[in-house]
This record gives sequence, structure tokens and C-alpha cells, in this order.
Amino acid sequence: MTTPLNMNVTNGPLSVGAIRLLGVSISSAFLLGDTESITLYSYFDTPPESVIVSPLVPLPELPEGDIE
Amino acid sequence: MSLQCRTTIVAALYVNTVSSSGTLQLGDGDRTDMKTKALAVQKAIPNFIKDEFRYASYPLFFLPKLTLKQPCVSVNMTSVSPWPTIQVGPVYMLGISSSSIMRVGCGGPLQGSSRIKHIRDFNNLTSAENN
Repeated sequence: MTTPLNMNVTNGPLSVGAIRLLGVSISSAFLLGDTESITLYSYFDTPPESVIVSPLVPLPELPEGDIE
Repeated sequence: MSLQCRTTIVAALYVNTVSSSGTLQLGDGDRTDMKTKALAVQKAIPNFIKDEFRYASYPLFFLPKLTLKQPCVSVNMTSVSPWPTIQVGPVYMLGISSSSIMRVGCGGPLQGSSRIKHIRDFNNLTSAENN
């Protein structure tokens, strides 16, 4: 049996200096403030067919449309 | 979960570019869901045949997301903020892009997702150059 976990957070004073940031990209977040929860996923998948050095092999036609 | 929102004070804010469903949010908000699917194809010889590149052709785009096994331990979380402000100096940001967010303020649960495939086809360029 799992008993509920109690977690109490007290936020102290927060003062931040200058921020210089080049980029926020690919489902990432830059937050100044409070938030309830954060869930971020990312996939990239480079190999194996991401670099093809060969003659073209056409992919077969698919009967159904793109999956949302 | 109880969350106590604080006021964020930013001295100055400079953002150069917001593109590709990037979000710059000044102020509080509720839940945020972000999603990106990208399929970048580069071919040395652009012999594309209709829409030959589909998301459905690649498992990366339809495999289920990995999550923690249920049921997890339930957590009763309380967050209190006796100091009501967050002080931030000047912020310089070059770009916000691809379903990402920059938020100044309080908000609810934030979820982001991204799947990118990255295919480069050199079309046997080396042998084509030799011919």
C-alpha cells in the first residue's frame, strides 16, 4: 500500500540579475514565475536512415492518412 | 496541489524573434500544451515524388510517449511564498521557436512534446559527380 506523500515548499526571496539567452526552442520553456508542473518531451532520432548516401528508394504509398 | 502565485518584476525585456509557434507570454495563464512534429528532409538531387515523406511512415511519430507507470505515489504538495515578488533584471533573448514558451508570470501545468526526424539523402552524389 502506498501512503500519500506530503510535501511542503516555502519559497524564499528571489532576486535575479541580468539574463542573456540565445534561444528557447523545441518544446522547451523559460519561465519567470511559478508553475504547477512541467512535463517536456523531446525526440530527435538521427540514425539509421537520417543520412542516406545511395540511390533513391521510394517509400510505398500508404492507404491511410497521417496519424494525428 | 496548492500553489501561491508571486508577482514577477522584470526590469527590461528584449526578444528578437518569436517564430514557429513559439510563445511569449506576459502574465498569468492556465494550462499550456505545446506540440511539434518536424520532418526535415534534405536531398542533394530534389527528386521528390508527391508526399513521399509522411509522419505515419516513421514509428517515431506514433509510438506512445513514455510515462511513469501508474499508479504513482500520490503527493500532497503545498507551496507557500512569504515573499510576494520575484525580482529579475534585464532579459535579453534572441529567439523563441518551435512550440517553446517564455513566460513571465504564474501558470498551471505545462506540457511540451516534440518529435523530429532529420533525413538527409545525398542521392549518391559522389557517383553522380564522377559521371
